[in-house]
Amino acid sequence: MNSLRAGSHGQRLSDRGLLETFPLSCHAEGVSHVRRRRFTNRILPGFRRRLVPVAVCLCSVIFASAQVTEREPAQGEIAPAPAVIQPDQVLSEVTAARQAIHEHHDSAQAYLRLGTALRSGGDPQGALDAINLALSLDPTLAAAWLQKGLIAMDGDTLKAATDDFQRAVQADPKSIPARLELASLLFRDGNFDGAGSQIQAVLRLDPDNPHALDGLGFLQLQGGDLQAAVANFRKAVAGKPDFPEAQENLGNTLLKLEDWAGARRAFELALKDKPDEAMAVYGLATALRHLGDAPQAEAEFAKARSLMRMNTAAARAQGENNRGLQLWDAGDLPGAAAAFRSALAADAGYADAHNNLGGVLWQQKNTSEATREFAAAVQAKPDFAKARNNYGNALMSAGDPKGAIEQFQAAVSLEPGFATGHFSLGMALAKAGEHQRAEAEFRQALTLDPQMAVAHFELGLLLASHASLSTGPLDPAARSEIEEGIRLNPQLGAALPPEVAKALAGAGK
Amino acid sequence: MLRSSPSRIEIPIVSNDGPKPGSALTGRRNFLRQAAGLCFILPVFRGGKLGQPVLAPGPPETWFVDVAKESGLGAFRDTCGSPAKDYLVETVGSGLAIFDYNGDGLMDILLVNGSSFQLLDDPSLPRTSSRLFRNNGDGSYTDVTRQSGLVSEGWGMGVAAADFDNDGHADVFITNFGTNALFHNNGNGTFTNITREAGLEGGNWSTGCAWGDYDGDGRLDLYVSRYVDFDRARIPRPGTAKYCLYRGVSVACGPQGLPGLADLFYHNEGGGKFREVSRDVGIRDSDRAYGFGVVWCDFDNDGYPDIYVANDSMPNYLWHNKRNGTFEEIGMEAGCAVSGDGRPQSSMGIAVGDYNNDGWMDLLVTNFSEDYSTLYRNSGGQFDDVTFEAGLGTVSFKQLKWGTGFLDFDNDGWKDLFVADGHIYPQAERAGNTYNQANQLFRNLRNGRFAPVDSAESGFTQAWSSRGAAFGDLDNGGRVWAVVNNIDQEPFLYKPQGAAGALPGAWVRFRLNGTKSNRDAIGARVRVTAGGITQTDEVRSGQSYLCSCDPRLHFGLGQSTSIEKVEIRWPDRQEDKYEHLGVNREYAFRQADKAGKGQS
Repeated sequence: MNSLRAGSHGQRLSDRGLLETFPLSCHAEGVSHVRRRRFTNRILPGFRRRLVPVAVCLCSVIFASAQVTEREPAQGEIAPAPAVIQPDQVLSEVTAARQAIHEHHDSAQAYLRLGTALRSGGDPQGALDAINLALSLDPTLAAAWLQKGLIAMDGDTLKAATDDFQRAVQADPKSIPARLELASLLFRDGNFDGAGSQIQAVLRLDPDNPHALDGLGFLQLQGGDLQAAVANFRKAVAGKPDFPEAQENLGNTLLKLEDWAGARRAFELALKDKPDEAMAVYGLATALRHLGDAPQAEAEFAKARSLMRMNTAAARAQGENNRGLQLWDAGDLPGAAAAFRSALAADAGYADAHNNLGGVLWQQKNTSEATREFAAAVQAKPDFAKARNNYGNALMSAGDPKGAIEQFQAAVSLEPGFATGHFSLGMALAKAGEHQRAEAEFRQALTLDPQMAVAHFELGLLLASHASLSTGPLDPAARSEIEEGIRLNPQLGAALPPEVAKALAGAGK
Repeated sequence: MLRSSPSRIEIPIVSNDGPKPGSALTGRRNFLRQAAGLCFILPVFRGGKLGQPVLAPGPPETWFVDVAKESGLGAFRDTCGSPAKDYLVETVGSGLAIFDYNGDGLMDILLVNGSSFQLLDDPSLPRTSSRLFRNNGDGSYTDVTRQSGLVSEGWGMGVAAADFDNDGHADVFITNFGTNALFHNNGNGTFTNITREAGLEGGNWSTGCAWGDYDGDGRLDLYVSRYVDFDRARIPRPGTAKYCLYRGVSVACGPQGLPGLADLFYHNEGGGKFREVSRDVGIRDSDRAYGFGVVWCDFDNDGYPDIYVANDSMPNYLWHNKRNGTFEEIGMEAGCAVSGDGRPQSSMGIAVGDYNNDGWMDLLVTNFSEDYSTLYRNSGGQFDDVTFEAGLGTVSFKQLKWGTGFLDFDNDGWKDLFVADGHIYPQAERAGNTYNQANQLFRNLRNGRFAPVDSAESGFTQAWSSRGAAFGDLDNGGRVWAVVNNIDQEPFLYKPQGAAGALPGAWVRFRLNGTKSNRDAIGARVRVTAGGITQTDEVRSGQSYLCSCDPRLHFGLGQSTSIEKVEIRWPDRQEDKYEHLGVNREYAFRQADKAGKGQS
């Protein structure tokens, strides 16, 4: 179910576009576990190609804040999945969901919970599989349709997302998140009447819903009812003060009403929450110009221009980065490296390109330069868990286990649902002799990704090392993990230490 | 501000009773030949009351009817890559020019043609070419491409026709995916390709182009916008990267994620030579924006032409002419670089016109689908996005918009809007949109608002994936026609009719000849006061989406029976004024050799 499959040596193109590399060292020489997976961690705010309708503010906010009404589960009932799972909750959610599935094979709620957690953990395919299972068990589960729609939204498949949200609304007409998501998509599709209907329905359910008020204000703005729009935007930000998009909408409406001071205030408030939002900077500049503050207006226009320019540079860097990934997939390592360098020429602080370049250089055995690139990726983006993992592996190879453990710990701290990070940390801890902690990390990795062959394998070896293989039989748990690892990736058999191989063979007799 | 000077007025003009069955127009054309050089006014109406033309026979039901097939223009079929459109260059289509190549007083049509990678890869295959159609004056057109020598076999994009060497004959510049082409009009119905000698090859992927005289030296300079630094070997396949998806469906990649190209600006050195001076004049397209439509216009009414460029996925440019031979980019500050809420849009084409008759030239910029075309109202040189206030916000949200123009289709004195539509992705059908889209007409309600004209009333019922759209009076009948280049299809030739119960108003048309200024008078501004309103327009070459329109200025006059005054500001800012002119005719104005002393 998890898209990270240990030992596959493969790459999977995801819907997101970028690449992460995991140059993992294995016990045996000649067994390479460089695994790659695409992800995105660089989104261009307000600049999504071709899909930037006027309702962009509404869309972004709804997406971030959708909430499912939760209720206490009855005894023996599976707890419903929270719609939004914080990064530090992913691991516990996945664990709980898997446990629930183990106990209740036919529980749609359990699969929904797993799907929700996997989506929050950045595994859309695993999430979709789980959600589809949930819906096969209970096609009327509105929250599952909602999650399915959100997964489709993540992949930009808007038509499918619209259908899913409509199904969610049909299944539960009182689902505010589903109606808001549907409204945002209808806006983007130019179906303003349809969006308006959904917003009105939400306001009937929750008259103070800030997102619905924002949406209503937006419709009124389009219809020319500026005063009513202002009133609703004000209500929206009163109900949700950290709502920069509604503040922006308010600012833009006040500009139309020539309330320059009011607009200035609204944009300044929007920028408090999102200081690099080019559109808000532009609005502020416009207000300042009308207020006669020419020097400040000029500075803000320059800032807006600069932010938009950065978005363009970032997009071009992404394009080169993607080209590099394709070349890498095709086995053209020099071409890939050149493309990643080109990406960095467009945007020197592009952490993904540093990370990918490091991965290619690593494959080219240029470990010192690769290490520098991983370090540069971490420096450019300190919360880049995958780059920290790669950097840690490079440090391990360079004989710096302490530095490596620091990087791995930072990686799993940043992204607790990062299975490979836990595995890497386990490897480093095992090497440092901290077997108990290593075992815990391997087990965490396997909770997150039960299909991770190397984690089974290394856990088995660790367990095997607890006993003296020369004097006693192979621990059954160790044998089970090793065999599972080899079953999932037969190549690992070649990496078995001779004494373990012997013990394994003996145990099999 | 404007003063009168007794310039020469030539009025060799025409009835507006339109082409009739048989030889009526042919006869008129012969008559014009006999009358050449004389100054006279023809009685313009037969049957109708003054100020209203006689309509075509039969009950009129739509404002326009497509006559491409019967006119002969339907012999042209655009070529633009493979049907799947795997690469962006196969999707953007081409423009066209309406101009009088042979000086017979009738507007001819040059349809720019694309190409395909199959043709580029295999030189043995027959080439495509842009096609020049001569207006026969009887409603028919003849393909004269070969005999004229205007054979442009590149992957054509845009076109701008203008008399760059002031010899009295309209020359043609064509942008290509590849080397651009300048065709010099030899004055005998033929052209010579002088691109290399002129120094206008450009390169890679040029799109929009427009002529104008930025430094007032009387010679036309050239702005060329460019799009993507396109190397097919480096372009990802559809669907394989972030910018290769449209609503989740695999499509051609770009332009975002691909390197852009800096625009080019050429100074006309005289003697048929040009020099690329972009950086010298301050046109530093350092963002290498994905440029499309270009237009020259004096947006701040200071008498110096500025330049507006529609950029795809990036802020648009307004190059302000600093009156010292240099420009500065002020789009953001002037309010016309991005949408009103600060969002860069994916812009394609540009319409320029004073739609609210306040004396300031406004802009309509067409944009990608799932977005609106943006109407920028110009107030004192500062623009406001008034799209929603004008009623244009939601009416074209789904369409992907390209060629556009402010044209007064009903001659009521208020400029209406035409927009050509069509998606770039054939795969759009799978993403909840459509590839072929009907073109749109919007009526100016005279109160700052527009209303869509239903396709049953406009006559735009056939949907193709349209691109370039140009406008002009093709039969000299006093109404504006529209010609549209369609991807992989024959063009539209929209002939004006009169919708049932809505007779069009009176009109006037001006043909300007510069003497001190460039001969085409590109950049000249005309203000016409009649019926209590003052309309403004400028002569330009290069507008809409990669197109060049009829260089003559057409004004609808509603129920007016006379024109109170006409004020002309020539490109060198010399000003002329004429009073008490008649309606329903064309006037040819020639710039006085010296201020205050006209030629007669």
